[in-house]
Amino acid sequence: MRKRTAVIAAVAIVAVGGGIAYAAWSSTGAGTGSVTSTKELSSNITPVSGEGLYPGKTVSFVVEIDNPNAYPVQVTSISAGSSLLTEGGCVAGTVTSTASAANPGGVIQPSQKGSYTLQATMSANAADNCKSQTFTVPLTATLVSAA
Amino acid sequence: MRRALIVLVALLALSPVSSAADSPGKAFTIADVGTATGLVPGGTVTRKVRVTNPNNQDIKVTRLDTSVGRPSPNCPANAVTVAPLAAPIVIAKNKSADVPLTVRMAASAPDTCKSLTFPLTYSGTAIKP
Repeated sequence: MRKRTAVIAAVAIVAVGGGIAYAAWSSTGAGTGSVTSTKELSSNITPVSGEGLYPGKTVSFVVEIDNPNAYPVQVTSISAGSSLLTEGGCVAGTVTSTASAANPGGVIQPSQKGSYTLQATMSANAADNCKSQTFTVPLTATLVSAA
Repeated sequence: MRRALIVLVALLALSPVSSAADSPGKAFTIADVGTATGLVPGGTVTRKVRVTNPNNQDIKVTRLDTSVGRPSPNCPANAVTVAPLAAPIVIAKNKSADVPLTVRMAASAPDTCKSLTFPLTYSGTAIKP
């Protein structure tokens, strides 16, 4: 009779012990790591077309802006510009271009180009040595990630 | 009575109580797998982490959160967020599993956040599957 009591007690303790172990079964985890942001690559602006300038005349000209980055970008502005001294001696500033509208639009995908039309005007006072010249107008565009 | 006590001790030694003392509750580890680069404003990258279960029993990871640290005085930590674990994952005993986490950079992230490394701190919880 005493033996039976002892065995019952043992079974009861085991059952309780097993219950506690199951309820306590949880764990936590931890660790550290990192992630890195990228640095943009500069786009280039290249002329595509634009001709027919004479003193006082405004013409449209087209430029292309490329995207060498691995993510899409959007042009937010293209600056106004003023021509450099030409090979034929036409003075700097003879041709000016107006800035683009804000956010001229269009997303340029990675490794693709976008075309933008601007306006250029030749000064009414342009000298004869400005005939048949090619004008270089430095422009600056600002772009943002369109990812 | 002595025999009964021996039976009791033997039963306790075989019960789950003793094995439970050394198996559950061991912390699992979370560590980077490879590099995660190329974050840009508005963009996402995948940060793969390896979750290792040092227990002698399977675990089910139910939560894995990431805290992002400030990479520089001029770039706010909240420029980057890491999505929590999408769904619970079971990891076999003494094994590990790779988990992809999605990292997003806010479209409003300033230029001062370019080319920086954001420190990440992982934390998680697991239960018995």
